[in-house]
Amino acid sequence: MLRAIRARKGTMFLRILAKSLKNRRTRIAIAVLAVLLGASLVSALASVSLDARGKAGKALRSYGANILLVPRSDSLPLGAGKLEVGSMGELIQESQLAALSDDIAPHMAGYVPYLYGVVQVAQQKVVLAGTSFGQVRGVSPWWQVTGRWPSEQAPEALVGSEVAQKLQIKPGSSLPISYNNRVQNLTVAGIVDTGAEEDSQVLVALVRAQELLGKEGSVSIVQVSALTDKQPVAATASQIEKRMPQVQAKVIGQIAQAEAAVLGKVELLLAIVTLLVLLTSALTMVSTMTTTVLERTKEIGLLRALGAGRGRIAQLFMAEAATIGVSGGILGCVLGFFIAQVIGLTVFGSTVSLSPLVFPLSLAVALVVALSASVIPVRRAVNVDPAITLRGE
Amino acid sequence: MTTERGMNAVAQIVRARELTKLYNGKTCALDHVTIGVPPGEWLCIMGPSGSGKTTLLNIISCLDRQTSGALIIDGNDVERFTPAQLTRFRRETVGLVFQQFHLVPYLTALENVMLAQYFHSMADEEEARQALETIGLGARWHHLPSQLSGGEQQRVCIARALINQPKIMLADEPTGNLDKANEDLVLALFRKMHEDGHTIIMVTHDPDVARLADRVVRLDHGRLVEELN
Repeated sequence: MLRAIRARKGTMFLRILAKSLKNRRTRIAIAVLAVLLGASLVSALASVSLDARGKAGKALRSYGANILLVPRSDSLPLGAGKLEVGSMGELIQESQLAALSDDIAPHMAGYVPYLYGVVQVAQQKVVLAGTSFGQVRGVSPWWQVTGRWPSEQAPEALVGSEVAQKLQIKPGSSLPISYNNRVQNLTVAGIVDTGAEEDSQVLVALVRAQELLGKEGSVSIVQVSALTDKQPVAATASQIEKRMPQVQAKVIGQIAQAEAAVLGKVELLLAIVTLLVLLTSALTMVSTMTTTVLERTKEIGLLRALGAGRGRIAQLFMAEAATIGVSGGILGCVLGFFIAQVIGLTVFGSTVSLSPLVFPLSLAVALVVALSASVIPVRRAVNVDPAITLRGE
Repeated sequence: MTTERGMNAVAQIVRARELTKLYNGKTCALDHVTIGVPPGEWLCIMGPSGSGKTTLLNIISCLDRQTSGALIIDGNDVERFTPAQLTRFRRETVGLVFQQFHLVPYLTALENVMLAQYFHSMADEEEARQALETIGLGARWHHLPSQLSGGEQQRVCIARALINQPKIMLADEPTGNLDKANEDLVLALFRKMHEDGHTIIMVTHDPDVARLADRVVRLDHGRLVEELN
């Protein structure tokens, strides 16, 4: 019996609520729009933020490696790939690099092996760097190549811009290089400008360098581009050292710190924008609810005169606010997902995946904004004096 | 002057003694008014504008509180009630009819009647329809107040006031905004209520309306100045 009474009371309450909302649909639509905008930005920015570490991490990988692998006994004074030729001693065996493909792979954007040697080119000593051009292009896409990238199979070379200038070399030129009486005739496929030490090197396919230098199956260093979204660079470095005991994994601090700082700033900016938008949504909601209460003062007075307690009045207005919050939250989440895609495509060049956290988070934020913004107007509503309002004062 | 007719009777549904109401601590709207209303009586309160008629009605309907004096309604000293108890007492004991009708504009005639049921206990659509049938608006149940004439709106207001079987019906100028034809319809409903044994306390300016009452009291400057039977 009590349940039946409650059910019928609930039905009447929903009837009043629905008609009340319908009666002020324009004003309600404005409030929903305000909450929708807030929720959409929360949704979009939460999606981007949750995805940003990965996306920004990958984008920042474009600026170079953040871990350098050197043979453990070596003490190369290396920066981001800087090399002191004379200090080369032991080498890393290429077969050891297989370890990088296992459980470390998810934490890496890629790695590039290098084998260095000093060769003679037109009676000049030049550093020869053997590497994998495919891997270089993945990790260092900013390299400016005039001409084209060399083929890994053909006897071709990529010549650093400083070397090319010094030796008057152009794409298509022939390039005889010698090392310990071994000579290889290469063709210059392109001139590379990196702004770094590669500009003073001649780069060839790793296999070709190993053959010429007589160091088959070996590399001098490996540049690793570690992702920072799931774990710190240092953790990846230590993971590498555990898997490759003969190798020392050095974190290139400057880049790692800069990367973390940029990500931090991006997240701070996102948080500030979100807060400002939510504040605007809340103010619009306060304004809408205050106007609604003022417009309905006589109606509230009547309901009080008919025997509605303060709780019933608060319940009605809070239910309206909650309806606005939920509607705005749901629509905002959908809109936010599309905004996130636009941000993802524009900034990171790829779509943003929808985290399962985003929908409940946006809905909760929308609901909290709508309800908290209604507290003061609802307090005003429950304090309406029916005796005064019904006599028109 | 006090009107204490029946003050000693056991079954006195409204008993006000020395009721005084001051607004802002100085403006005296009611000045030591003593009045008793036996059950089933139709009492009319008359008087010029600002004489305190509506104030007296608001206090008896528990919409307002007196500054001093005692008010016993249906055996309850309402002065001792908390605001929540007053609200409950109002919805269970009193039916209100206003000059301005005061219907919720976005609810139909039927829903306006059901609203009073909802706050009282639970909405019963069939019972509310029956109430509208009784006042001759059975076919207009789905109309909004804006689609009804003044007389029809006032009849909906009466149906709403009656739906919970209140012990006292309080009406503030119920025919004040109606033309003659609608006034007759509304007064016929009040006559029927009176015949059915409802206690009616009505504020009116209209002597023709007042003539229908069992008793008329006149207020002037917050004081009871005349009583007519």
